[in-house]
Amino acid sequence: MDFSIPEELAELERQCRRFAEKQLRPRQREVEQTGELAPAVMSAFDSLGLSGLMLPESLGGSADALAAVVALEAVAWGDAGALMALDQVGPAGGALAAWQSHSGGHSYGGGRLVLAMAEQTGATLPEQPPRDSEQPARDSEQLTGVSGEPAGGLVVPYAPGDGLPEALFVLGSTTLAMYPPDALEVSSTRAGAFDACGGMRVEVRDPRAAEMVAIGPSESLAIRARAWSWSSAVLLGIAQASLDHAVAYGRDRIVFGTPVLGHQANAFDLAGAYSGVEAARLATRSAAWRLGMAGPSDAAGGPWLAGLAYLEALRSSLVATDLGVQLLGGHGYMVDEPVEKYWREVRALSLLWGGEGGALDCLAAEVLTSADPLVVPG
Amino acid sequence: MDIQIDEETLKAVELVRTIGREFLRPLGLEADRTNRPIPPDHPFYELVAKSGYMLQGLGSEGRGSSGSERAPAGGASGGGSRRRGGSRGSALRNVLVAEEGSYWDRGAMVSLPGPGLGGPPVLRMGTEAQRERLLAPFRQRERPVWAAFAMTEPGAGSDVARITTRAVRDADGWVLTGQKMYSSNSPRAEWVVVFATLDPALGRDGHRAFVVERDTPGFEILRVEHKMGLRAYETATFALDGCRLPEESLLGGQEYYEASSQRGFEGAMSSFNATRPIIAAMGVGIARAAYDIAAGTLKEDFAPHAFHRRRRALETLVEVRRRIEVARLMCMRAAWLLDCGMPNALEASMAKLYAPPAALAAVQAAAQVLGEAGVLRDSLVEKLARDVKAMDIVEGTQQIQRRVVSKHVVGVLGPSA
Ligand SMILES: Cc1cc2nc3c(=O)[nH]c(=O)nc-3n(C[C@H](O)[C@H](O)[C@H](O)COP(=O)(O)OP(=O)(O)OC[C@H]3O[C@@H](n4cnc5c(N)ncnc54)[C@H](O)[C@@H]3O)c2cc1C
Repeated sequence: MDFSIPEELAELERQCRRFAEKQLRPRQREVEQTGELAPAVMSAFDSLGLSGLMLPESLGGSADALAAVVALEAVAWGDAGALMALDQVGPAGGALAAWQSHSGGHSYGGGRLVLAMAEQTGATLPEQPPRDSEQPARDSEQLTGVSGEPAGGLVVPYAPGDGLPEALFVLGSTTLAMYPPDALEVSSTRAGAFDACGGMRVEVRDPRAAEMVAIGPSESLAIRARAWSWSSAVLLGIAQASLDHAVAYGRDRIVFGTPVLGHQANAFDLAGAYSGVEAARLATRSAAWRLGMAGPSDAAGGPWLAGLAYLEALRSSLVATDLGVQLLGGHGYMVDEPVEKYWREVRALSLLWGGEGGALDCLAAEVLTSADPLVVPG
Repeated sequence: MDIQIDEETLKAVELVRTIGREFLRPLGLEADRTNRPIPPDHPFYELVAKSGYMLQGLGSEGRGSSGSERAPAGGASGGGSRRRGGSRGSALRNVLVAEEGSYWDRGAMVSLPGPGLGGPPVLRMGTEAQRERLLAPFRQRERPVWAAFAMTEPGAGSDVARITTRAVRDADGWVLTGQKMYSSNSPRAEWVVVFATLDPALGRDGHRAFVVERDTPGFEILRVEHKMGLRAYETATFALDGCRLPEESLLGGQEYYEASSQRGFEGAMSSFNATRPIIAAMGVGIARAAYDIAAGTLKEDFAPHAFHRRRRALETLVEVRRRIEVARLMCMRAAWLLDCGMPNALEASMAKLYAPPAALAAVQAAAQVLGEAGVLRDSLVEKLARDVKAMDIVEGTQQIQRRVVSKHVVGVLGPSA
């Protein structure tokens, strides 16, 4: 047994941290306001090779889930908004890999990938994919927002220069659908956070253009697990940034004769939040390691653990970022301090890709049959 | 026991509902989107002034006052005969009106003309002549008038004993020097209640409250803060650069402080008995707004969702309602005690401790019901989340309420009881 990460991963983490610290963090407010990332930042990000970590080997990547969560967290710690703008594969890595292995013949030369969960779009994908993949999947009304907003469409992180997405994947329980760029329409929208990349509403203009492949339920779960891992890592990076800031502030600021964190009540709260984030990190990394061990249809309990880790990451990051604002008092509520940004980011991110409800649905369907990892051969 | 809300209060709430629907909600949304406070010359404020509501507890960070009452010495905790039927008092009404206003828009509500947080210290500490003079502008119905309250400084927020704004007395009156921050509505205020100290080394004993009028030389707004939410009103930092004030600007006059050197500090603290339930109720109002949006979604358009998803959403709404209704009762009870002239410091802090975190949890739960749509800037729930967070900070943070509650509770249970 070895809970430490290998040295080359530790080195990757240090590199990502340095990048986050030097290039992202100092300019996070400016980038949030202007939505512009300097070309130097983009090329520095590229040289970290993050997208390679998420891409399958067939596309020249290494699909190293553990390396991906370690690196993502470190970069998100600097500025999650910038990360979202920079990382065009994002949580869709698993869907792309599955698409590759089933449909073959497609290449990926970069560009924004969008992933949506079928239930999140309100779409019903056929249980059995039609043999003729040309067959129209559904009518355009099926892909609308959950709330029944008239415009419908999906809200996805996006970078201003992205243009049309390279692909929209819609994940069902036994089906994966893919919409090519010319079937899509995008319009900009603003989310409550991540202004660095801006939000984009993606709508399907031509539902007939959808292609579909059949996947098994466990493969569907595995694709979702990649998305959970991605979200967990980003949530934890933000949560850690918030706690780090609160620690630095709370050591200096004197209230009632003692530093804020010298008050045991606050130190206890912080200790609780810190441990929560650490627990979620351990779970996220362990799940990623398992995902790396597993084949496409999961033999090692990776997706199940990734789901639990995601719930842990969601809850602990909500707590940590709330405490981050709270420990700064009124100062935490002002935009001069970064903690209000972290607070908004976690709350926005926690609702995307199905959020807690989506995860609970999936896990509820698994709970009685999921094996205890202890008895699953690693 | 009778927890019915009286007719008069319901009427007041109804009026705010009308104003809220027509003005507070749209103006608050616009302020949030443009990141600009509602301008003081907005015609809506004139309407409010004309309606005579500047003194009716319609709004502001603190309670509105009825203008003539004076709390018993030492604040609400100072005793007084128990008066049944708290609904006759204004505290309960203020709490419910604050909830309703915040349901529509908490930022716009606080931006309404009126004495705001400046009201309670003037009512509690001011002499008859001061109350008359300072509240007179709010009795006229010609133009909107604001007042503000300034305790917080860069180095002193929760721990008010650390304020350093200096008050020096000389032959002509007083000279104030220092800096105040996060004072809401101060850029448009006719006067600001400023807490200063005779000498920082004296701690609470040195505190004195002054009224600084807007044109006083040396009073200068330095910056208007950029807040995460609540953008409809200004929260500002200002300088007091050798502000020369007349003798009458000392709230309560010299005699007031002769009874006890801590009366300046106590005056500020006793205002909290009225304002904390109000801030707590504002949280309830925001939570209710989030609830309505989520419930509306479930009523109208939940067809695409599977049965079990709908079921979970409904259960979530039950939890939201639990928090809203329990929190409201906490606020109402604290206000009722105040109206009865009973001590309520503990209940006021408990309401303030319970309601804002419950309200935040409620707003987040509602966002979950909406899912992705709750992420968007133009979804109201996203804004409500940013707005509600401040309720856990202003008028004493959650941690400060824990301090107050534990002092009371441990005092009762501990060996010294
Ligand atoms: C929207 C808004 C409007 C405002 N309007 C006004 C206004 O009109 N007038 C005005 O005077 N002020 C106003 N304020 C300021 C507000 O009252 C202060 O921000 C608040 O009292 C907290 O003070 P602080 O920001 O200095 O935080 P600090 O006092 O520095 O607190 C930092 C942290 O320490 C914690 N803490 C403090 N003491 C203890 C303790 N003994 N034990 C454990 N933890 C402790 C706090 O809870 C907090 O988490 C406003 C603030 C906001 C956000």
